[in-house]
Amino acid sequence: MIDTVAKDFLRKRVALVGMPNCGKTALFNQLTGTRQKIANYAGVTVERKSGECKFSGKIFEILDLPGVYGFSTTSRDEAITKAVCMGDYEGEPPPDCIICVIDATNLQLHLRFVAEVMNLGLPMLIALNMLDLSKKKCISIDYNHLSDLLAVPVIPTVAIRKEGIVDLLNALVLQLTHKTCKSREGSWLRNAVHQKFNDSGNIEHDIANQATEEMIRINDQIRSIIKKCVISSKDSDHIDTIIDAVVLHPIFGSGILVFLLFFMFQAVFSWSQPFTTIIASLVHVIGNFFINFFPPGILKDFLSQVIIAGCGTVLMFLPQILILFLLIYILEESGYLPRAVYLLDGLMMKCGLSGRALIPLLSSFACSIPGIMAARSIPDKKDRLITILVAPLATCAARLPIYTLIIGAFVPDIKIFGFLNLSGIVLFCLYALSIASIAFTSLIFKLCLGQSEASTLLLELPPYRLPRIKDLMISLYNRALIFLRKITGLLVSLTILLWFCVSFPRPPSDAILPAIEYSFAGKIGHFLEPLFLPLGFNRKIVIALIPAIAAREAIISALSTVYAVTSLNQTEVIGQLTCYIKENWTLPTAFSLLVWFVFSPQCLSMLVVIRKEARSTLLASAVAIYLLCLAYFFSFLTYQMATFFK
Amino acid sequence: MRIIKTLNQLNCGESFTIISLLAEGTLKNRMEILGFLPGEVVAVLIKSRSIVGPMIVSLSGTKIALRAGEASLIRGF
Repeated sequence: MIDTVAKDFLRKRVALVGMPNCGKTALFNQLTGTRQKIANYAGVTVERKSGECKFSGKIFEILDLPGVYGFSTTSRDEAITKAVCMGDYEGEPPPDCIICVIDATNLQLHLRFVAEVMNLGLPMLIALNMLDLSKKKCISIDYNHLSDLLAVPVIPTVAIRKEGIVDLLNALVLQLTHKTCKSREGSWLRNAVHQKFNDSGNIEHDIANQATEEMIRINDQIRSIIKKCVISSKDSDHIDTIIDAVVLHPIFGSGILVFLLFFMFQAVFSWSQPFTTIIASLVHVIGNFFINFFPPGILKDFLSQVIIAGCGTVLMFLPQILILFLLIYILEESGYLPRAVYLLDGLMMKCGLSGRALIPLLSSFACSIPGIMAARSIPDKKDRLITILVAPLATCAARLPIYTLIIGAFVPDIKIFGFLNLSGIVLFCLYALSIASIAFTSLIFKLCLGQSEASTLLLELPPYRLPRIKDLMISLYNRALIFLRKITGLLVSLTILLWFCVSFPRPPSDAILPAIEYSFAGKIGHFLEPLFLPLGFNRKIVIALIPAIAAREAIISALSTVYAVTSLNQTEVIGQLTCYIKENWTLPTAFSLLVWFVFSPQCLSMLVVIRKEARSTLLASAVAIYLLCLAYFFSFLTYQMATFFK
Repeated sequence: MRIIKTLNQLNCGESFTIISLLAEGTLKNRMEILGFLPGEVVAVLIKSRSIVGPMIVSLSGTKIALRAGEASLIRGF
């Protein structure tokens, strides 16, 4: 008998539900520690977080469902949360119990959500979270009385300090053994519904009005419940009001925002540099150590150029991604992010983007890969799609080497007005071109895809909170794992393909030209040459563009290969290359190539990330094609105009 | 007798009691879930100077940002 009871408990499923900003994730982290598994729900990009919790010999599987405001609208998160709770989601058995996490400082809002959850009619508990903050705000809650009135067990918790966790688990065990509370039956909610039907007698309103009336009734019920069990001395969130007065001020607020954005950009751009260098040299050292065991030949080439270089590329993005996400998490947890969205919404809306596209686009200026990954925080499907589509147009750090090379070779080092450097101005123009093209293409996409119905601001501004380091670290750790797992496979296999093109067939023994000229890449370059002639690209440039598909910065080493620059010193290579292209290229060609790099989709990793984030090969190919078209068109225009006016 | 207005017509610091929502469908649902229900008092905390810009309102202890277009769908007196 005892055995069966124990087995019965072996793996009970418990779902955490709650509104955004209720401290659900902190509670989840306290319950599961680092024993978390993050995946996606089948077919959608909504994250499925689950973890194990051991308590007095029992194991619970805790499911952290997406934070939602209710179940009546049609958003993806809400549909999934409801389906999982009800056991309607394929491959997800129904949870044995639901823990509804609510914020004690904002009961009016959160109890309305409790009513929605109770309507599902499942066994449930309420975790009355953030009790420390409510005490600070001089709100005292008689939670026993609240529990009686709601007819659901209410357990006070302070998730960030691990208070009330044991009580919560005890209540959970009790709930699962006795199955006492089928929340819908005999509850205050049912009474409300019955009363409504008795009052109106027959149904004379349409369904929408009924829903509204029901909401009003529940809202009134909640008001009376709160009146009975909550004593609140006067409102005292004046600190928040003061912060908001500054942060949301049209002038100071914008200033703070610009400063923060600049800071974030700098951080992703430069803080990651030392880490990237360390990782690169580590990969290099470890790779060389193993490589030395192999005799020179194709196998050695393959290992060093594909496996080690491919993995190295993946790892090198990691610092940027982690730094960006750390900053995003801090902004999100502290409550600043929705305020930044509010400040920028008007401006971004003019370009057909939502205010939430800000962070993804900004970080794309450092590297579009973390930027595209950050786009998952945009709730509206169309807004997210447009953001992903335009993110590759942002001038990422990988374009700087080729920009510097060409500017160094062709733009004279002179000063305008005595202090403005001409090469600086050209670089600035390239950035301006990139920003203008983002604004312009997003506007076009908006017109093509149509105004999204669900694109609204309607944003709750949560109270300011200090982020907790433990929660930040757990989120970051999970983010790193997701990135590595997702990207590595596809990227390495595409790198293999590219390597094959560049290194086969091998050059004949009496070769005078660089090896790449004899390879498939060389032949493709040969074949494509007439196509690129109107752009002013010679065969060597076209060939060099092929290895640059892997990563934009690879264009430098590819150019030095085709121009047969041989030097081990990187600065010497750049110096020699500068001389070569100065002699061999015309000014229109140089400008045309610069413009090509503003638009070109030459980064395999980026396309792989788009493919993974949007879950569509079609979309990734579409991005590649539309960028190629843009690049071709504008390079053509630049070259022809430059030749004409020359 | 007070005049019925929409939320976007209120100035900073003013408040009114909601009578009805002119929104429909998903938007109406989302507004109701956030607490824009008839009978609730809503106060304008911050309003940007441009006519179309977003505003911040306070609604039973919750701060909510919304666009002027969305605010024009909330009627009250």
